[in-house]
Amino acid sequence: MSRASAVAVATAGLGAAALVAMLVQPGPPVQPLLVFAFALAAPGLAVVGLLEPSSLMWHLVMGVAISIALGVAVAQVLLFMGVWSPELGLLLLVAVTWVAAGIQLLRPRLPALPGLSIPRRSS
Amino acid sequence: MSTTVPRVEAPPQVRRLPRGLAWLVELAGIGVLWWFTLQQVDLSAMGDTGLVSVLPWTGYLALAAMAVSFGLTLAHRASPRWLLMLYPAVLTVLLFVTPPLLYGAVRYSWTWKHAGIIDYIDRTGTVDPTIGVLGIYHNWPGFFAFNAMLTDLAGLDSALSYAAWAEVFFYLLTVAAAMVLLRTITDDARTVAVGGWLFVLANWVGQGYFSPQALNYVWYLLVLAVLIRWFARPVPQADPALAADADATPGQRVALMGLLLLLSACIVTTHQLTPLMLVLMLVALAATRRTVGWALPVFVAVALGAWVLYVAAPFTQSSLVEALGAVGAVRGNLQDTLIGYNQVSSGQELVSLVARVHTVLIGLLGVAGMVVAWLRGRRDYVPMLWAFTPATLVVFSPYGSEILFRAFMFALPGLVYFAATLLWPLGAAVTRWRAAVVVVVSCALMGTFLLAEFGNDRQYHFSPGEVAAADFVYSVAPPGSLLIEGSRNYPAQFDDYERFTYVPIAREDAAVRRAMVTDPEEKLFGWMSDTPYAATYLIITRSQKAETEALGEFPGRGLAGIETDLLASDAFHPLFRNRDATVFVLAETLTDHTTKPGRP
Repeated sequence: MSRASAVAVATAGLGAAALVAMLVQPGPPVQPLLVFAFALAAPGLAVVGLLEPSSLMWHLVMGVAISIALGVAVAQVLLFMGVWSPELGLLLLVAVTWVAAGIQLLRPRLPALPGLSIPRRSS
Repeated sequence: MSTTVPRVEAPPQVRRLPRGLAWLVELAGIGVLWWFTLQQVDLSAMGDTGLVSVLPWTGYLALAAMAVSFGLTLAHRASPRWLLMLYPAVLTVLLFVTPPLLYGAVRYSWTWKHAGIIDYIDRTGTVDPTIGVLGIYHNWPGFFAFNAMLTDLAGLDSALSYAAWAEVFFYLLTVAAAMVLLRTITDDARTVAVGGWLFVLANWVGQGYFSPQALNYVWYLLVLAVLIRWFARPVPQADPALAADADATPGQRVALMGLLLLLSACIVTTHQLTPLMLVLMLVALAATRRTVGWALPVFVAVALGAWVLYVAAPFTQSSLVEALGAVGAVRGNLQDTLIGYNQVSSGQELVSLVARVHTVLIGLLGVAGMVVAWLRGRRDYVPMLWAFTPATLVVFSPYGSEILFRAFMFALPGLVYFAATLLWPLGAAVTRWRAAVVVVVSCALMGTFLLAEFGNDRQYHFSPGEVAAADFVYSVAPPGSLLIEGSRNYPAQFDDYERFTYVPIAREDAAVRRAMVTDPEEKLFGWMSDTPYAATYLIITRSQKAETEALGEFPGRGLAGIETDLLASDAFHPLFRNRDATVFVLAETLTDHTTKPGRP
């Protein structure tokens, strides 16, 4: 299993765990741990994984940054549309994660995104 | 006949830990020493140089050991890339776990206000762009809405449950993003590691706390990284010096542009200054033909204009005149930044001076690296743009006094890149003397960094007693109450914040403050009696006193004198009091306070 596929499985699993935490509400420390682990990492890691990045560092940092960006985007849309619901927000983020993870697992392997550094002439 | 050949005994094998594991054990040892140091800190003895005034010698030993360990790792030819990259991260953790471990309550009064906006969204499911208090956050609510969602889903009462640890999280993410950015212009692991290390020590401006700016800075660095790596001129296919497979496929480039648009849109909708900086940088990169096309700068500029003029119109209309007045006010922005030394305490004068020396040192290292690189024939225009473009913020920004430091923060990627190439030139041979220079420079910067970053912590941190007083006020004050505060610097506005009116004495005119110190009983009795408010409270805390003393905001005995006089007065009653805070009400209203229930 490639790194991207492993990440897809892990993020999809985290999404499921976060949903269960929302429904069961086990309280701290399990509930915050699952919710934060999912929301701060999973959607972005799954989406960025679709690019098949060869740089692990870029995958991790960009994954976290994109996770938060997706969370911010979803929260703002719910807020400005007047349909504020954290539960709906989580469902949307889990849906994004599962779709990205599903594509990653089902599609044929694509060429890897080249690493961060390229030999560059003085510009 | 047989002869026996004497056996030569092999030298005893020394069982060594694998190299990487040995370094990890060393780092763990430094971590234990730092943890031990924090156990010895006596917060009650903190003076006006902040944490530095109470940090035991073992703390300096731990930091020096950290620098030496980094130097040894740099000097070892076989040090793996991951280990080199790990050092800036470990230094970040070491420095920024300190506030949550030491202080307990989250530092910076602004963090408490941010928690108040999150509480508002969590309670109401809306924002009020026309609200009078903290209205700016209601017009750029993304960061707060996301945290309201997290707080609710995690089953937490308040974002304050995790806000203290957000500082570690954001600083770690920031240094990682900075190293990603540096790696887009050099593959030299040692230069990147030294750059990341310098970035940690240079980034003293205190914008990594639980705030939209912290998050936006990470996004900003990553937008630049993606842009420079995959949308730079010359395009790799057209440049024979670049590997043919160095570029992304067309599909990947479309997806990368999608990520750029997402990050840019989030920057525009969650912060006021970062999108302006982003537009300036994107225009600079496109205009100098460092990046491909004008689509992204145009998109961000249009999105910024649309947000400012349409979505955030309620705030913009009231603040536009002020903002436009600040455009071009370079002299005013520069002067605002400079504290009048005749007012501040000697310790704070030292902190302020050292912070500026630290800033200048980083700037000098960057400029020296730039000059040396130029003399060696390197024309690194992209990091030059990273370093110099933020200076234009001083012209465009309405941020007044803070703008120089924000501009410095945005210039850091360029400055630390050149500083890193000065200390560890690209492709330089691994030598001990070069590593030794890094250690010496690091130790010097650590000293100034500690004062610059933690030198104000006497007023920036809040004790459990102060938090208890604030909790008390918000639990008993009925909606519509007037809260008179010694200054804005205490845990405030974090709970049902919009239901109260706030009047900080330190924000009054100098004449009013002087009169307040001269005869606080008469002045405050006038303020607190005969008001249209449901109830009136006066809150004086340790951190308020520390801040107003440090900045010289009150003459004579200051807030402490006001508190002493009111405690001796029959007209005032301390409704709540502990070592670090007092909440006063008028004695004549005491019956109301003891019979009226507080908020449900």
